[in-house]
Order: sequence, then C-alpha cells, then structure tokens
Amino acid sequence: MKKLLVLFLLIALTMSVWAGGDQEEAGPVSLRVMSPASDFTDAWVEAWNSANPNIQLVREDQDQTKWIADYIAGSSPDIINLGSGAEIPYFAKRGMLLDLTDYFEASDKLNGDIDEEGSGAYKFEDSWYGLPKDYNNVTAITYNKDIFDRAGLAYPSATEPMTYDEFYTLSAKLGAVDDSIIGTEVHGSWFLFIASDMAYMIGKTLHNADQTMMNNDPKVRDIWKYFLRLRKEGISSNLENPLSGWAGSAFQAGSIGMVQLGYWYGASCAGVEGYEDMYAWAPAPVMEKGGLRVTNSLGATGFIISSQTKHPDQAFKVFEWYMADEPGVERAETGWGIPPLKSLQPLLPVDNEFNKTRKAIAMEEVKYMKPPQTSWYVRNSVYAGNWTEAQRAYLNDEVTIDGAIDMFYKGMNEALALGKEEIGE
Amino acid sequence: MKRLGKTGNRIEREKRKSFYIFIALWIIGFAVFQLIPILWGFKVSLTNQMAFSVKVKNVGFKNYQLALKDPAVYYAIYTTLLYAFLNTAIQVSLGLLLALLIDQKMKGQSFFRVMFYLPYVIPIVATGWILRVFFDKNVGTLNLLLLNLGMIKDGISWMGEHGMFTILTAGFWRVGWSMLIFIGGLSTIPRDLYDAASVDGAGYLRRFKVITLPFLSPFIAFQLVVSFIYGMQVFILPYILNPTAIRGAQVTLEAPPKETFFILSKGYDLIFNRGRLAYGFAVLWITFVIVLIFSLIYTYLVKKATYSEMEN
Repeated sequence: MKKLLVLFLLIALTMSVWAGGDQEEAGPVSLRVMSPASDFTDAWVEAWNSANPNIQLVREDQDQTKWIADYIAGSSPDIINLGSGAEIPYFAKRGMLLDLTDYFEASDKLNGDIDEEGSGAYKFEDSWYGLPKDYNNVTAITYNKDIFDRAGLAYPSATEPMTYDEFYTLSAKLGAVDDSIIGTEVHGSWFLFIASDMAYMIGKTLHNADQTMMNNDPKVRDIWKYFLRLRKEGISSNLENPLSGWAGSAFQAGSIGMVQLGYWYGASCAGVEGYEDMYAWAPAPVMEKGGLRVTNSLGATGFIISSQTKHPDQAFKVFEWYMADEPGVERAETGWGIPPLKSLQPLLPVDNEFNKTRKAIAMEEVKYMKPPQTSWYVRNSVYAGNWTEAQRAYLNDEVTIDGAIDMFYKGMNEALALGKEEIGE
Repeated sequence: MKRLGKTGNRIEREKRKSFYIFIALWIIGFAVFQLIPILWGFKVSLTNQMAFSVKVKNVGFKNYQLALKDPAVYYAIYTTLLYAFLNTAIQVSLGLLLALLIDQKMKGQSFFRVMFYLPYVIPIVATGWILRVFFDKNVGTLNLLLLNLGMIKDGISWMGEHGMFTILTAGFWRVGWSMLIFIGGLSTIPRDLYDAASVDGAGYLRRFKVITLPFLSPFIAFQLVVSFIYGMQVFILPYILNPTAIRGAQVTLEAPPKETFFILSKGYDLIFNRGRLAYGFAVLWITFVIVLIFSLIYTYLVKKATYSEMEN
C-alpha cells in the first residue's frame, strides 16, 4: 500500500512537471525586465508596481548567457537592457527586436522630442528599435591634473581637440612620471569604437563594402597598430604591468594619466573627494589638426523590447514611462549621461566648472556623432575575443605587429562569414 | 547459487521494485534536467546553428571535423589535461600528508582538522576573488609580503606571467576535501596492525609502506580519478584570475590567456561570447569523450595497484 502511494506521488509529481502549455493569464500582466539594478532601480520597479497593479514588473539581473538561453527556449525577457546600441543592427537582422516606430509616432511623450543625433544607433533601416537610457561621448578625455603637473606638461585645451599622435606622445610622457602610473588605458572593448571614429576621420571604413571582410587598407591597419603599440610600449597596461581594477577605478586611484570614458564618467568621479580640482576634461582627439571631427556613443546603453514579448503594448507603456517620466528625469538630474529626450537635457548638472565643462564638451561632440562601424554579422564580443587573442600573441612576441593584425583579421573574417550564414544571407 | 523459494523470490521482487521506485525520482530529474539537454546539445552540434540563427541546417559531423583540426582546441585540451594532472597530484599528495599529520594524537587535533577543511567550504567563486586580490601585482598581499621581505624588487605579475601557478594555488587552498577522504581511510585501518608492526621493529616509513599505503590505496585510487575529473571541469577560476581588467559582473566577457584558457571556458566562450552554438557543443562533446577515455584508463590502471581485503 505504502509503495503504491509512493508510486502515485511520483507519477503526480512528474505530471505536474510536464503539465504545461500556454495557460490563459488571468489578472495582472507580469513583465520581465532584464537590467542591472543600477539602470533600472528596485525603487522604480516598486513605484511602477504600486501605481500600475495591472502591469507588474519583475527585474532580473542582466545576464547575456541567460538571455541567449531564454531566447532559444522562446521565453526571452520582455524589456532588455542593451549594453551597446551598436548591436541594434545585429539583433534587428535576426528578428529579435520589436519595431517601435509606430509606438513612437503615437506617443505624446516621445514623438518629436527624441534627440536623433545621440539616439541614432537605436534606429536601423528607418525603424526605431529602442532608445538609450542616456548617451555619452565616450571618446572625450578625462585627465589627472596632478600627474600632468608632475610631468611638467601643460593641460590640454578644453575646446580644441588634440590629434591622436599628440595624445599618444602625451600619454607616453605621463606614464614616464612613475613606475606605478600608466599614460592611458583603453577600456575593455572600446578600442573598437575609437578605431571606428579614427577610420571615419580619414575617410575609411573598418570593413569592406558588404561587411563580410575586414578592410586591409594600410591606413586602416595602422589604426589597429596604434592600440597594439600602446600596450607593447607600456603606455597602457599589459601582461607584465596589469591594471588593478578597470580603467575607471584605476584612474580614480591615481594610476592613469588620461582616460577616454566620456561624459558619464564625470558622475562617477563625483564620488572622489576634491574631484573638481583633481580632474579636468578635454575633447575627443582627431586624426588631423583642424580636420574632420567624429565621435561616438558606442551606440549607448539603452532598452529594447523583445520580439518574443506576449504583451507589447504593456511593455511599451513601461518603456515610455522609463524614458520620459520619473526615471528619465532622475537620470538626467544625476548627470550620468545625456538624456535621449531633448526636453530633459536642460536638467543636466552644471553646479561647478567640472560639470559645466563636461556638459559643454558633450553637447558640442554630439554634433559629430556617427554610429559605430560594427558589422551586423557579429557581436561586439567577437571583435573583443579575436582582438584579445591577437594582442596577447603580439605581447608574448609570438607574432609581429603585422602578424597580429593578420591574426585578428583572420578570426574576424571567419566570424563575419559565419554571421552571414546565421542570418541566412 | 542458492535457489530461492517462492517466498524468497517474492521478497526479491519486492526489494527490486522498492529500489526502482526510490531511484525513479532521481532518474526523472536526471533525464529532464541533464540527459535531455545533453542529448539536445549533441543534436545541435550536428547542425550549423549559431546563437540566434534564422535558418538552421544539418551538417553532420562537420563541426567535429573542424574542432579536431583547430589548434586552439588542441591547446586548450592540452593545457586542461596539464592542469588536471598537476591539480590531482597536489590534491592527493598534500591531502594525504595533511591527513597523516592530523591523524597523530595531539592537542588541538580537531581544531586543525577544521581549519584545514574550512577553506574548502568557501565557494569557488569567492576563493577566486580572494586569490585575485592576493596575487594582484600592485596591491596584492603576496607581492607586498615579498617586497617587504626584500625577496623581490618589483611586484610580480602573477596572473599575467604565471597564470597556471596562480590557478593551481586554488588546489592548495581547497585540499581540505581530499584530506577528509584520507582521514576517513585512515580510520578504517585496524590499529593493532600498527602495534604488531611496532613490536616487530618496523619504523614509521616501513609501517606506512606495508600497512597504511595498501589500506589507503582504494581511497587514493578514488581521489586520483575524482580529482582528475574535477580538474578537467575547471571553469570559473581562469576567468576570475584573468590578468586583464574586470569591471563589475563582466567576468566572463574577456577570455583568459592561452595558458589558462581551459577547455570548458573555451566551450563557453565559443557558445556565449562568439555565438557559435553548434561548434561549441561539438568541442564540449569531444572533451567529454576525452575525459571518459582518460577516466577509464585511469580506473583500469589504479585498480591494478589497489589493495583489496576481499581479494586477499
């Protein structure tokens, strides 16, 4: 009898695991928001949930691995934080994003108020797929005045951009001040976006016309070599002299002379006592003095709505509130980035010279923004992965500098071909 | 074999039924949450599927052929095997040494047993972060200690230039589990054997060779195989002990250096950072076969060297 009971319970448990299929939802709609808490705070989630009992939000931490797994299983989160708007074409080509164009046109809060220069990366082939939560001129320079003083160097101009050659020379001199100091550090995979700007400024592209191969033009190869030399010559961190932390934290620890992180970094620096006297700003460098200026926002961190969402209207309501209402206002006032809506931009902080300068530089550089030259056949992480391999081989003296570029190109060309196959082109 | 009567057969059948009923839940869980996904992974490895493929087609064993020609895959397997063997050697030798030391009747025996085991209780991710700070070139405890002792003039980039060593230290840190296995093994050895050996004039080394080692051999064999399998599955440590800058939760975005880019990390990188789902699964299936072959060879070899009271 006991055994029969146990057997019955096991069968019942198994059936309950398999009991599934679409169940009709009664009551409030629940939307999943995949975002770090810093970009979609729990306070906002609570505020929305209290005010909107019929649309309840559940935030989960941003996890690319989980997103891929969920998407393959057909259960993607509804609203997703996209780390870089540069990847909008990648996701749009794979049908993963909800087209928001009609929603934008019908929205009183968004229509006519979108800053298209700064938010442009979220528009692809005339369709809007999302908006930045805020955007930044990520190649603007923040520098440490004390290190400049110790090196006996004049501070850079806050209005006239230096060239990348001048930036390189300056960084080398700053790094020579002390063994514990490096001249500059390119953050993570942002070498890709800086390379993109450099290519634009000399009238070149990073890929061939149909984006299936990397551009083997010698001037484009020189751009990639610039980043390799920074590490090889110890101007940036390398395997012998690694960073403790990342570029931003190391800069605030006084270990780096100059970083290119952009407007938002000013808000991070505000946590350092005496920041307004210690740090200052310079515009993003150019390739030629007086030449074409190009900047980028890496497409900006923002939000999209998944094409797999079962509640697009409700998801857009949340999206609209996030961009234009209380969260949008709060973000603008903290100065962590330039709002995508023009009406919110006057709220940016200008309480001291540091903040005034960074805002002035940002608003000027918005005029020169171009979308990053990344291919829709691959994600940013693929560039970073292939670059890291090639760079390490070069730093370990396994290949020459040209060998490293060839290695990077080989990996990228293979990946681009696979990406083209992935889309079914 | 003794024939069972009618009652005996019925009891046997009942016992077998109970057995299968009790393990049924585990089997169902294993099937649903492990076996089916593993088989699905094999099915995907026979296609050209990427992470977000719009069109998928069967390509047979093409991914396997590509993986078997990929020098990066071979290197990852080689470096993983190297790590697995070295880590196994640390776990077994150090674990045995600590167990022998702890087994002595002394004051504080329980205290030391707990202290040596405690680091093992710390989750591997936390261990990785602790070691990352310990080995940091600029602010790490190890470099500060060596600099203050005058043993080095400049900080050493442990993670950048001695990556395998830094990861192997996690093996030192987590040797408590191995020690516990051997303590259990030592407790099975009849004490009167040692007494008899002492009376016969056998010294410590002779007693260890003739009594301790044979009785511990099944435990050593077990630990050799298990440590090897775990060593082949190391994943998160290479990412955390990566010499490049890590910001926030982006731990697995940047691949570790070649020396410590072990095969599971390589598979993960292929699938989630490069979107090469099918190819990544093929690499992982090849890894599974390699681990299986090595484990079977290992088991066969250690079995020969294992003492068993049943056989003797």
